[in-house]
Amino acid sequence: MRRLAVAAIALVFIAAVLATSSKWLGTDDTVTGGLAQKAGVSQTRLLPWNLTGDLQLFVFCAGGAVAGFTIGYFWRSLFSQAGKKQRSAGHCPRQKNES
Amino acid sequence: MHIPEGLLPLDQAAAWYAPAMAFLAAGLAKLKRLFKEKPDARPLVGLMGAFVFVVSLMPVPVPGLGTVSHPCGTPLAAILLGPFAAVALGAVALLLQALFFAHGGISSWGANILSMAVGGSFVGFGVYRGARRLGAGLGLAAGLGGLAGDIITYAITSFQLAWALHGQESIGATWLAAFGSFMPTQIPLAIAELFFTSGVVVFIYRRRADLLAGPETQP
Repeated sequence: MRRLAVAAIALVFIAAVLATSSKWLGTDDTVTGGLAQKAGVSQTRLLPWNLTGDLQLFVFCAGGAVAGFTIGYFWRSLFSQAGKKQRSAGHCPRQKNES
Repeated sequence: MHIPEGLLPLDQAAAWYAPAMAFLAAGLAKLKRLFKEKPDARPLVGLMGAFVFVVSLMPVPVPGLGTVSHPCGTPLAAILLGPFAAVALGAVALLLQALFFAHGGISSWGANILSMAVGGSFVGFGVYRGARRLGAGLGLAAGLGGLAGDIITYAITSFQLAWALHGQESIGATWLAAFGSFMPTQIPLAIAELFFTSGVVVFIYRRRADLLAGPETQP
């Protein structure tokens, strides 16, 4: 029942997003950019690289995937049955073997 | 919470860096002590580090308004690991986002640490502890911590922007304008962070109550 409720909320959320016609600008851009423009200041770049075109998409996908796998790996060791067995055997991930 | 490169004057950027680095050093020392005293805390630290990174980078759309913004994640990390450890995780997440994801900046890293990592962690943790002492249930207290941590992050960011970009107007008026512009998008996200933080803390309490048993995280 709880899973159904979560799925229903997710579906309503997705439908509401799709029904909203917008450019989906971030508040970091609109609010910060608006204040900067009013003050006559513009963003600069210190780093030599720039995320243009689909490179930005790639970097965000890669970052999300790495973070997702990391969360899954540690989630398993904390909450799954296999992790429970490892914990009871005195093993935890990334712990150095002191033998 | 992701103030970009070049918007803060150098003296102000340095002024934000100094306390941010002090908090970061204290946070790293806390993590080192935690790893030494409780090696089985490593998975939770790894989990929360990845969580703070991805949640604070994720642009979440707000239907109806047509805008997107970021949750913080640091209040949840602070409730589970303590505020100093959460500051260290938030600072690392912000550095990676500035270096590789065009979110934030190197010169504004100190300011962003103070808003999201320090403000989000300490206020979120403080509200959680305060609500527990006033008799609130675990889920409600954690949720209020998530909500407060999210809102305070943008209040601090608004002040940082107002101080740097107020021009001829007063800092107070500029802060109010910035904070008022952030809030329509941020309040729904803060409410979502309330439910998420509450849900995760209650889930962990039911499945692994021992993870909440540290001296700073005793529910």
